[in-house]
Amino acid sequence: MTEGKASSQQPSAREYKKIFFELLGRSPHLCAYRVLTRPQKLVILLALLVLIACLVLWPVVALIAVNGVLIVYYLVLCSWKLWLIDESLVSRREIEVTPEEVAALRDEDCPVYTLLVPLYHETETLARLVSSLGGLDYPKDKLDVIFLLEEDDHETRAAFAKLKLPGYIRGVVVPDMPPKTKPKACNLGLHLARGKYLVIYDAEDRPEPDQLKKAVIAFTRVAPSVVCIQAKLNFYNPRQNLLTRLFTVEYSMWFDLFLPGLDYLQQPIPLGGTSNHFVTEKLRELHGWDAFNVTEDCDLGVRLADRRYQTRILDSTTWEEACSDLGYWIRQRSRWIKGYVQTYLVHCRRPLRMLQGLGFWKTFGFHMIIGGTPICLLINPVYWVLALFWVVFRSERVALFFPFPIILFAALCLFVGNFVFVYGGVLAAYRRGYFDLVKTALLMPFYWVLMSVGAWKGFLQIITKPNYWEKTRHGLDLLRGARSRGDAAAAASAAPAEADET
Amino acid sequence: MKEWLSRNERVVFFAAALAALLAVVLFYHVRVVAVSPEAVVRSGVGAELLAGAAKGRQGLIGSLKWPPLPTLLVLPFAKIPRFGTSGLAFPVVNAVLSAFTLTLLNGWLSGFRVPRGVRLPLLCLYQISPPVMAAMLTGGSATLMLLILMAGAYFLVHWLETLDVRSLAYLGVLGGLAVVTRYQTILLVALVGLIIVARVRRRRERAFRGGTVLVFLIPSVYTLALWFVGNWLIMGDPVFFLRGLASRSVLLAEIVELDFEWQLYVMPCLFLLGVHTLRKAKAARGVGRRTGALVVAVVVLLGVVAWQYVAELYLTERKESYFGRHYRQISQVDEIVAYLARYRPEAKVFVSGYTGYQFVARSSSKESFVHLMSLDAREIQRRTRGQQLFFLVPRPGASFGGRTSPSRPHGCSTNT
Repeated sequence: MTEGKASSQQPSAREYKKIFFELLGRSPHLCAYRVLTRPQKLVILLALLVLIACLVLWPVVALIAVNGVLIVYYLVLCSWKLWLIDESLVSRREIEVTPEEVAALRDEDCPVYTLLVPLYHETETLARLVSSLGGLDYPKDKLDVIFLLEEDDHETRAAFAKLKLPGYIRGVVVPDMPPKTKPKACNLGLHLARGKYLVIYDAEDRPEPDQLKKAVIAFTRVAPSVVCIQAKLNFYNPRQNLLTRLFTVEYSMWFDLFLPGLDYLQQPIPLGGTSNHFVTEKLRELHGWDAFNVTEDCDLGVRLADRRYQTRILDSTTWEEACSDLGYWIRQRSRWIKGYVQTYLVHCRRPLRMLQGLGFWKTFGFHMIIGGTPICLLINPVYWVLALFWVVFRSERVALFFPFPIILFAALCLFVGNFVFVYGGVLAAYRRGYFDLVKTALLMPFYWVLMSVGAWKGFLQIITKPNYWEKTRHGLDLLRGARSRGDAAAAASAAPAEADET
Repeated sequence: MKEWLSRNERVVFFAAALAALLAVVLFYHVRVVAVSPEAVVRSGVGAELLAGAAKGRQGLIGSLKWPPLPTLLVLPFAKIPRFGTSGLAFPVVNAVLSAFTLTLLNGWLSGFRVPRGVRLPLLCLYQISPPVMAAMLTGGSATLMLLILMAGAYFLVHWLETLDVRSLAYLGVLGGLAVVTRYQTILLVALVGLIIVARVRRRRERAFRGGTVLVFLIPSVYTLALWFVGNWLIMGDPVFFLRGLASRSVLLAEIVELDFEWQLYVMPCLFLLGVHTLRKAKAARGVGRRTGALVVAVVVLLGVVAWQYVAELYLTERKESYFGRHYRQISQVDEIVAYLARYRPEAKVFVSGYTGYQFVARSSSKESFVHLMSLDAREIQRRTRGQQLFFLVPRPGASFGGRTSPSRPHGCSTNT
C-alpha cells in the first residue's frame, strides 16, 4: 500500500506475511520467532540442575568454580577489546574515500539507490528528515526513498500527507500485524526496493551529504564478498546533558574503535541500526531481516559472516540524535541487550553448524562481542556489590570465593580491565575530535551502572515480552530547545577534525 | 604509524634475541648464582603472595624502595621450586624484557634506514654494555625500567612528529607503568608533560590542548591513585608504601640512599639524540652535511655504549662494578649460612625483614630458615617450644653487611 501517491495493487494478507517473515519460512532455525528451542531449553535446564546440585552438595567449591570461569571470561574479553582498540589505533582501518574521488564520480555512474526510512510516531522529526535527505549529494533521479509508515500511526501519516514531497520520496504503509518491529517494516521496503544498493536511515538521521557516493565508490573498490558497508554513527547533540555526553563517548568508542578493529580482524560485525549500505540482491538472498529480532542489525551482521560475506566500515558519519531522556535511554538499551541475547541464543542453536559457517576465529569473536556484551552488563552489578561489600565490611565470606589465583585475575579485571574501558572512552572522544568530552569519559563507570539497569530490564523482557520493540523517542532535542551553539556547529560541520590532522 | 618492519621480521628478530639472551643467562648462572638482593626479595615476596601468606600481600603494593610492578612480573615463576625463590626467575624475565627492548630499537633504527650492518653491531654493543647486561643477569627492575624508558622515548619522538593518538596513549600508559617501577619517574612524567604542553601550545583550540595533556596524564594519575588505594585496601593504610614496616627515620634514610641510577635515564636520552641526528642526516641536503650528521649520530650512539665499557673496565673498583656490586652482600649471607650449617645444623633460624629473604634463598636446607616479615615472639614460641633459637635481624643504623661484620648472628636466645 502506498501513501501520498496513487495506490498500486495491494498484496493480500498472506503475501504480506510472506514478505515480512521470509526468514522464518526459509531458515526457521535462524529466526528469533522462538527465542529458545526445545533442545536449548533442555540444555539450559540441565545446566541449571547441575549447578543447583553442585551448590547444594559443595557450595563453596561450586561458587569458586563459577566465579573462576566468569573471571577468566572477563579477562579474555578485556584482552580482546584491548586488542581491538590497539588495532584500530594503529592506522585508519576504515575504507577512506577522498573528496576528489567523490567529485570524480559522474552522475551516470551512480546506480539507483534505495533509502529505507522506517517511521513510527515521528511527527517532530519528519520535516527535518525530508530536508536532510534533500541535502544528499546524489543524483535525485537515482534516488528511491521509501518512508515506511505504520498503519496505526495516524499522526505521522497525517503529517506525511501534509508534506510537499519531491518525486523520489514515496510512502508505504505497513499493515498492522504483530510483531510491531522495525525489521518487519524494512522487509516490506526491501520487497519494494528498486535500487542496486540499499541503505536504512532513521527518522532523525543526518548522513554526511556525500555518504551515498562514498558507499558507491567503496563498493567498487572492495572484494565481491563485501556486501555490506557500515557507515559510522555519532551524535549531533553530544553536549545536551550529561547522559548525551556519556552516550557520545560510548558511541565513539563503538564505531571508531571497536568496529574498525573488528573490521581489521575480519570478525562478524554487529551492524548499527542505521546507515548500513547493502547490495540489495545479496540482502534478498539472505531473506532480509529477522522480523522477530529486536536487534535485527546485529543479527544480520552475524548472518552475513555466516554466509562468508564481509562487512566493512566506511569513514563517513551519520549524525543521529543522542537520547537525552533517562527513561527512554533505558528503554532503548533494554531493547539492544534483549536483541543481543536473542541473537546469541539464535545462533547458538546449532553450535557445530555455526562453527562450520563462521570458522573458529569468527566464532570466538562472536562469543566475545555478541555474547560478552550482555553477559558482562548482566554480571557486573554482582561483582560491584561484592567489591563494595568487601571494601566496606572486609568480609571474609567474600574473600572465601576468591582464593589466590582467582583474586589475582579478579584484581586484574577490576583495576586493569576497567581502566582499559575508561581509557578507551578517553581515546575515542579524543580521536573523534570531542576534546572537551575527554574529561567526561572518566565518568564512564557511572554510565555502566545505567547500562546494567537497561541490560537487566531487557533480559527480563526476554521472558515476558521477547519480541516487544521498545521505541526510542526522537526529536527530544527539538522539543526541549536544548541545542547548544556548539552542537549546532558540530551538526553543521558534520565532520569534526581529527587530532592527528593538526 | 608507519610499519617499518613487517610483523614476521619483528617476530623472528625477537625470537632470535630471546634465545641468545636466555643462553647468556644460562651460561652466567651455571657458573655463579649471583642475583641482586632486589631479585631475591621480590621473588621471596612473590612466592609468599602466591602461597596466600598475608605478608606476601605487600608484594602487590610494594614500597617506595621497591615499587610493585617488577614483583608482579615475576609472579608466574615464583612457585617453581628453587628457581622461583632463589631470584633466578628475574634474569629470565629480564631476558624477555631485553629482547623486547632490542626488537623495539631494531625497528626504530631500521625506520631511519640504518643499514643492518651498522644496526646489529650497535644493538649488540648496547646489550652487552655493562649496566645493561649486568642489570639483566643479576636481576632486578633496571631492565624493565630501560624498556619503559626506551619505548617511552620511541613513542615521544613519534608523537612529536605526527601527533597521533596511539603514540600519545602509549606514552601515557608507559608513564603510568614507570611510576610503579621507579617512583622517581614522577618527575620524568612531569617533564614529558611539559614537552607535550610545549608542542601543542600554539595549536588549535584550548580543549585540544587540555584533552591532549589529559590523555597523557590519566594513566600516570590512575596508577598513582591505585597505589594509594591498593595500600589502603590491602594494608589498611593508604601511605603504607611510604614507610612499609620501617620507622620514619629509616624511610628518610631509604629515600636519601636510593640509587638514582642516572645512567638509566641518560641512555634513552642519548639514544633519542642519536636518532634525532640520524633523521637530520637523512633529511640533510648535500653529501657533506649528510655525512657530518651521520658521523655525529654514530659518535653519539657509540658513545652511549662505549663509555660504559671504559667506566666498567678502567674506572671502577671490582666491588663497585655493575656486575660485582652485589658480591659483598651475597658473600656475607653465604658466610653466615655456611657458619650455621657447620656449627648449628640442627638450628631453626628465624629471619626477618627483606634481608631475611636472602638467607632463605641462599640456604641449601630450606627447613632451617623461617622467614617472618616481622618477628612475632608468640608465633616463634609456638613453633619452637623447647628448641634453641637464633634471631637474624638487620642491625639498626647500618646497612646489611656494611660497616659491621655480620659473620655472626646479631642476636641469640634460647626458648625453653
